Amino acid sequence: MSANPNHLLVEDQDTCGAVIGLMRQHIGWPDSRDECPAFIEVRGSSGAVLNKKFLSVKMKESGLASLGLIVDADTDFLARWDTVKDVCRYLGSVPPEICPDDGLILDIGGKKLGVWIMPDNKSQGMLENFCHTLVPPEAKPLWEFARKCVEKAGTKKAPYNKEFHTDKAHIHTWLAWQDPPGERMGAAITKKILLRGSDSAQCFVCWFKTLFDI
Amino acid sequence: MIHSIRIMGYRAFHDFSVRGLGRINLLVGKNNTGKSSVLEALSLLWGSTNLSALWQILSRRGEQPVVDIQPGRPIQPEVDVAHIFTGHQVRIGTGFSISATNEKPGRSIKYHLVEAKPEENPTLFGMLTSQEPVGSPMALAITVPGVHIPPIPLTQRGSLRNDVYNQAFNMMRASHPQDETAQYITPESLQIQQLHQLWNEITLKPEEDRVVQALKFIDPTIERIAPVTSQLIFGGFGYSNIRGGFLVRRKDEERLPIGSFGDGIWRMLALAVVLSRTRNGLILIDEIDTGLHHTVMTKMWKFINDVSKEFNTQVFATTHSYDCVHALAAICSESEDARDISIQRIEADKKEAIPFSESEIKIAARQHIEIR
Repeated sequence: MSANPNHLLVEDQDTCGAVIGLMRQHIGWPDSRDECPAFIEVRGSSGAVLNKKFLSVKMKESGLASLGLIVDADTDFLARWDTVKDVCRYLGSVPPEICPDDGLILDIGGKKLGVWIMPDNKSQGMLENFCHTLVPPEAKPLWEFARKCVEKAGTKKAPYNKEFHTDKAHIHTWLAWQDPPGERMGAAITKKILLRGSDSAQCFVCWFKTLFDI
Repeated sequence: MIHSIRIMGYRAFHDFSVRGLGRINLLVGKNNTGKSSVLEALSLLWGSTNLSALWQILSRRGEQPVVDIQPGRPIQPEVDVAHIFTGHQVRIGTGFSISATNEKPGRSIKYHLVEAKPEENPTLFGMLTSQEPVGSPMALAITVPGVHIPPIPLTQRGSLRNDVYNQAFNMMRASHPQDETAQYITPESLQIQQLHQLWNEITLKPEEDRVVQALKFIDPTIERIAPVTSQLIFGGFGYSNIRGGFLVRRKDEERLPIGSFGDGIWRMLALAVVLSRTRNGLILIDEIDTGLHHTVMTKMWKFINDVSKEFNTQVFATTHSYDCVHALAAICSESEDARDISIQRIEADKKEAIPFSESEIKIAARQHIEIR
């Protein structure tokens, strides 16, 4: 519960940190949950973010003006987009057939519902793929080296899930070699290890500001 | 059972509907959004041929005209009808209507101001003009389907005078069977006299035990409660008429006046007596949580649920309390078909209340969604 009229639901703490890290660079982010641009709630999974019955009550929350949802596309973007469309219909709205590249924003009964599917509203992937686009161009050789290391670790029985989490292992490996090493993605943006001004970042910031009337 | 209600022109409501009502309905919303006005509208609708509801509403709110006291002129209490109309205007044509839109048979009532025609009700006009310097230009017409109610003349100030209104009430009572009024419990609960009257109807019946059962939610050592009248006798001699009139006995203790207990006991007594005595009726409770600690809320709702189901009563209550809303969730069903309980949020300038079904109340409580 928060008196903040803007609420944002995310899957995990990393997404929460990345959003705050990015938006703090662009519009500032006071610590008070009622004064920050949006009150962020970590829901634990994409299923929990996109729970239809929960969302139908959430949209009726007292004082709510805008509700944002950020979910990962994971391995099947179209399947995730179908789920999003299904949720929108359940909430009484008519979503577009194709997901807008710059993120979805709908008006439902005078309140705004926004959806951003990581990484870019059209590809499979997750927050880590979004953050990959924030890697500075001069860091590309090290990025490439990290990719090879992850691959090699796989051959040495590293237990990470090769099918789903290679991209995740990749960015965290790269972050492990920054100064300071091993920062989480949100802190890496704050500390300018990751670029705040990339095209993807600009697009996300634009969606966020439009959704929450900033 | 009223499933939905439409209010047009009453107080702040130009045209306002509340849908999806159940047997128990909790009205929430910010201050000044009209929660109490919905309760009032329900009381006007329910006791449509019983004219006492309007007088009670206006006098409870203290909506009286400022009247110069002139020596030698008898003083009659008056209530100002302007405030029951959207815009607070007293002019011919102003009115409001309240209807239950999906109940069968339908139930509706309309109050509006008409040009005064003394020949329609010479008795009432005669009473008014005997004390008013000039004849009244307006009358309050009350329209109930199938019932003829002569318009009641207003004073020049646009107020209803007590003697005229009482006479209209008596004439109505003589000519038409009276609807039972809804039981309205204010934040101050009920007065001693009201509680005694209700107690008379349950005395030495099993309902008495129900009242004790409810009081035990607050103090488990309470064993008996009984009315006493001595305090009423002294009521005019500086004794309060707000609290008292009952003695309570706890286990292994002497009897004590109810005033020795906290606010919660007095509140629970009013709730329990009204709920235990009402059959097939409507119970309206303003700020239900007043004086009650959050730990008794769930028991209170369970009591209300059980009794209202058994006696076929419909309950409407208002609250600002998160604990009260949260406790109601404990008696709600997970089933999406369950419609016995609803929460309705009233928001200013909206045409409809925002309804929450039982399963939605459950979700809101579990997920900490603010629905007040």
